[in-house]
Amino acid sequence: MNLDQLIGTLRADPEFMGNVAHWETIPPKQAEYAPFPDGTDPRLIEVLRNRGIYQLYSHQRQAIDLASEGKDICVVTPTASGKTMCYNLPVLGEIMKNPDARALYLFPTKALSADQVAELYELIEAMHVDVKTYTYDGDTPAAARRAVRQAGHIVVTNPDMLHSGILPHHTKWVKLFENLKYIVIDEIHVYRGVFGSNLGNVIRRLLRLCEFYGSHPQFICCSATIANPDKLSESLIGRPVALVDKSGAASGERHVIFYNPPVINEQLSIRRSALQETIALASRMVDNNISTIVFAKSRVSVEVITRHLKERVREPLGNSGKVRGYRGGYLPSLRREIERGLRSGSVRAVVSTNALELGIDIGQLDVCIMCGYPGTIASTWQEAGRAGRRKNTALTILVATSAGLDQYIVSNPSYFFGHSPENALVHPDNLYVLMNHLKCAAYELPFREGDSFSQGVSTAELLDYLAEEHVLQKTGDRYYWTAEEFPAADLSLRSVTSENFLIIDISNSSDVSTIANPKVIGEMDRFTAPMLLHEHAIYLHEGQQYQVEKLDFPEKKAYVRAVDVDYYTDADLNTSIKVIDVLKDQEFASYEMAYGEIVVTWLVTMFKKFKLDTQESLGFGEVNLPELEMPTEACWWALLPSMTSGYSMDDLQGGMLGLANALREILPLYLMCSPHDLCVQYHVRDPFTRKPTLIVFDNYAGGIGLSEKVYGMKNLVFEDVASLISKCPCECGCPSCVGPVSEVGPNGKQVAFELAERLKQL
Amino acid sequence: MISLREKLKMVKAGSSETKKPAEPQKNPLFMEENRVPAAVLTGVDRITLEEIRACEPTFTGTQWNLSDLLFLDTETTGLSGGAGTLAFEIGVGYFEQDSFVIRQYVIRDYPQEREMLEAIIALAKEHGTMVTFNGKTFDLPLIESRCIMNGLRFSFAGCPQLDLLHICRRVFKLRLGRCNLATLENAVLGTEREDDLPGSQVPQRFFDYLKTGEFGLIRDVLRHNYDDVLSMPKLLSRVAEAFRAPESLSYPEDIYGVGRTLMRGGHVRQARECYRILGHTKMAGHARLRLAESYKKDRDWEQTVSVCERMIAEGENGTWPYIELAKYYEHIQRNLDRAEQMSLRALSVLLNRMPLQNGSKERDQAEINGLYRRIERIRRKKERRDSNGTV
Repeated sequence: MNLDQLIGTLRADPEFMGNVAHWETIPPKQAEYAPFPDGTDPRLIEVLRNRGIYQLYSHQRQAIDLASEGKDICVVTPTASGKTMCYNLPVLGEIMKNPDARALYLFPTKALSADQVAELYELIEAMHVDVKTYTYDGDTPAAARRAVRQAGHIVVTNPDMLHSGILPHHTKWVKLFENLKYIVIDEIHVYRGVFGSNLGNVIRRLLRLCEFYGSHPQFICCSATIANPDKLSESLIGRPVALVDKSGAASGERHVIFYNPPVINEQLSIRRSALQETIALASRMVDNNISTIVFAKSRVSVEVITRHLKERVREPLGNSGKVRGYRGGYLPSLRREIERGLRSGSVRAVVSTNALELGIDIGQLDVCIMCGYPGTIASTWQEAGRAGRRKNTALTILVATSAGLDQYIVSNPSYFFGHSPENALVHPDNLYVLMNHLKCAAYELPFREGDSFSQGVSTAELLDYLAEEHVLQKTGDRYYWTAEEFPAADLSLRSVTSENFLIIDISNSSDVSTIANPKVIGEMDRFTAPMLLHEHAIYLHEGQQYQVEKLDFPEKKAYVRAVDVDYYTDADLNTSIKVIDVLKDQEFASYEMAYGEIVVTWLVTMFKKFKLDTQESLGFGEVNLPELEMPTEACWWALLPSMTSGYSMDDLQGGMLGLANALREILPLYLMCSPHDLCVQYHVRDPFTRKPTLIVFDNYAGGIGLSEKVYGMKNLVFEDVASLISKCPCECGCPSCVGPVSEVGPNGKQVAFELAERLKQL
Repeated sequence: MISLREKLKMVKAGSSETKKPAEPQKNPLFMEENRVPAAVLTGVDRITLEEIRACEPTFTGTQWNLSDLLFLDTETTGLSGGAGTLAFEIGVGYFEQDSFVIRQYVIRDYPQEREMLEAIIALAKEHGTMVTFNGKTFDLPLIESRCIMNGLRFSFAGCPQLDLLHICRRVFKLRLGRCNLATLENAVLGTEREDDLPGSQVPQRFFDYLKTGEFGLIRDVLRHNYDDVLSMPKLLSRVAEAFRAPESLSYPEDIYGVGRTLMRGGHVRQARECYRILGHTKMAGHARLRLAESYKKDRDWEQTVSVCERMIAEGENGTWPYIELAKYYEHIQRNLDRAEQMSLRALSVLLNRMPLQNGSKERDQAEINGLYRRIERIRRKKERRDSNGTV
């Protein structure tokens, strides 16, 4: 069966259609073309003709025209619409006209930059012109770095390297800074939250240096579809942009199906597991040899799905290479191999985390299945864009989980298919972020009195403060860096530490002390390791199960051994919160609200075992690991006795749990952040406020301004919480509103609703 | 509402009590000059361009006059080498008539940096040849970077450079391991510093000076830098001597280092001489290996064979001399019987060797396989030869 036939079969399948919450058919779109602009270098035109490109898409032409007018631009285009031409053509044109000109390309990840350079190389080689393009990142050999600094026309890097490897050493990059003509920022929508706030400041530093060296670069930004690409670009680069958002690219017919697994327990409103449904749907594709990408949200689900699909395609000789897993933690060489397999077609199905969401070139597939809503509309379209060749039909199936956000999306298709309501938020003036970068900037070039680094916060006041702290020395009208430290060294743009744990396979050794042929099979970040690599955890890698034999925390090494068991493990995380400082507070009739700084402590104390196919619990074990601490910002509501005195302890407990669960579902929609960016907790008796308290905190060290925004919204959010609870058809609570009745208790839903109604009022 | 100032206090919890910074310095750029009689630096005047080229094959200078040399060493605010690190002190030394002049500059505040850099640029232009200890990678690029920051365009690219760290590493690394200046002074010059300021404390001294205006804090830095500058011509004199007369060196490791440097610089005859001197020392095995390699490269078979046979007699370098001889007999002398015999002897050396450490087993196995292939090939050649012979 080909895809069109399969879609027909699905439509005629009453069991399948019974679970379809929405089926959107997006008609095919004709391409809109425009000729190459006058004055385009004939060598460029010829090379493109040789590749079958005789004219430009209308949006490419528009972008090139705006760039040649000297405007900063932001191009918003769907996947596979030739967006790289929107920056490669102006950049190559400029360098071929003026060999001294330089360009800087920024990609969010190393893998992406490697990919884009390969494409650019091909163009340059085919033209036989001397345009040197180099990648400059952590993998660039020391010997090659000199050549990149001196001779690179186009320097391809990532924000982290720009921040710690290029800007602090700008005197070695004089050629680049003096002649910088274009700065290209691809995948700009990725730079939200803390990453974006950091990047905004890195760009401020970059532009400061350009001014010192006398260059005035233009920006070309590219974004996936979000509500505010222009506003995002503007807050990142600090100046207005011209928006190019009408794609002229052709696209085939596209089917988007919202698939809601059937309810198996009416009363509890429990649905069949999205994971099982995803496996069943993906198996149908694999059986028909239709090329498919499956997106799952966690590493564990990627491995579980991969394992099932591999079983499906296993040949008599045991070869199951047609199905591959793909996620962070796989070594780069393995990833490259899988990408090649996808492009060549030898890999027919890949199961991935959002690692493949960004523009890594894997060719185009036919079907995209998402196990769970990816969290934002922009991510969903990017993942969906992995399926669909220019003229063929494409199918995307979103399999909803029981989570409130998923249920909201599949039951409100207009929210999803209407104009994107998602705003990517950045907050470059977050005081932590700003201060860190101001130090880096002062290190890079002394500030003068009257210099302005950020529009929102008084630079003079910050500088004077640093001078008082003897980080800067003010002499005459200048502020000089006066500390030994290298400020960029300790600052990570992604705010997660770079200290990864190594995962070492010791299947060939009898015990940890005598390791023969140890093999590093992957890595994991510091905050995830305690959850997934504690001793006795079952760690899945490329479908193979491993048991963690030893976790050497100080050495950051986990020793694992291949096993074959019928269960997986899931660790329990204990979170405790200490208030450090109250920055703002207000008292209302029945509650107090505050915003301030806290320290969160995480501790994994135990793990549970679950049977692989039925998910039934098989017992638990202890975990002995050190705590992890993170300072951040929080917003909290302390409920006064006037609100809570009427409830029994049990009811209040259930009600607050329900309220916390509902809040967790609603807040990401409000703040346009991923659910993971925030944590919601409750304490029936809070050690700080000594009252029943609901706490929301930013899940990033130092905070990224989300809690402050929550504080600013006051009671607004509880209107939606109350409406979510009252509109939910379940009797006494389900995973889509306050959580299952087994957790919140028989009165949990009602109490949560009553509390929300009170919190609605000031 | 909380003021920005209060927020800043919170961002940096536990901020220290703030002292009022000292009044900006009105004093001019600090400069101090000391003269040492050149006679104290014995041997410096004997150095020739040939010796320098032998020490440093990459040296680009076309002549050698003592008065052209500018010895330079900096004291900096850190080691990161980024744009925010600067040299607050620069010490230089040069020969003037019968004296070695040591001139030291210290900036009293940041704005004086430009003036100091201009003074250094003038001295560099006047003398032309830069002599440093680790200056190629640290001090000189740092000064260039600071020039850019101060709007001065200057590069040392036009000056011939001599980096004593690189030269000393080649000669003394094998014996000393670490080659920092203190180790070299101790082991090569036989001097020891008293109450020397550890380098790690240098940046803080400057920051404290900026805060307090107490120049006494800088005095220790100046003394440390003075010693650094003065050690450079002494070291230069010693290494030049080592290349002039390697046989006078007391340590075989040092002679071996000189030999390797000479060989790299193309001074084959002198290099072989070094290796030959080592024939009765603990470096004999290594030296003979280098010697044989050098003869082989020149296709001097007689010498190659003689050195290899000596190695075999001394039991040096494992299978290497056997295999080299096997190659020689097979390809050069076309004596297949001798070639086969040598290969078999190599094999017996290998097979009789006990595996000493983990992993060597695999390497040995690879070597054994290689030898089997060699022996088979030689035997095939022999068969072909014999059958041709009967026809």
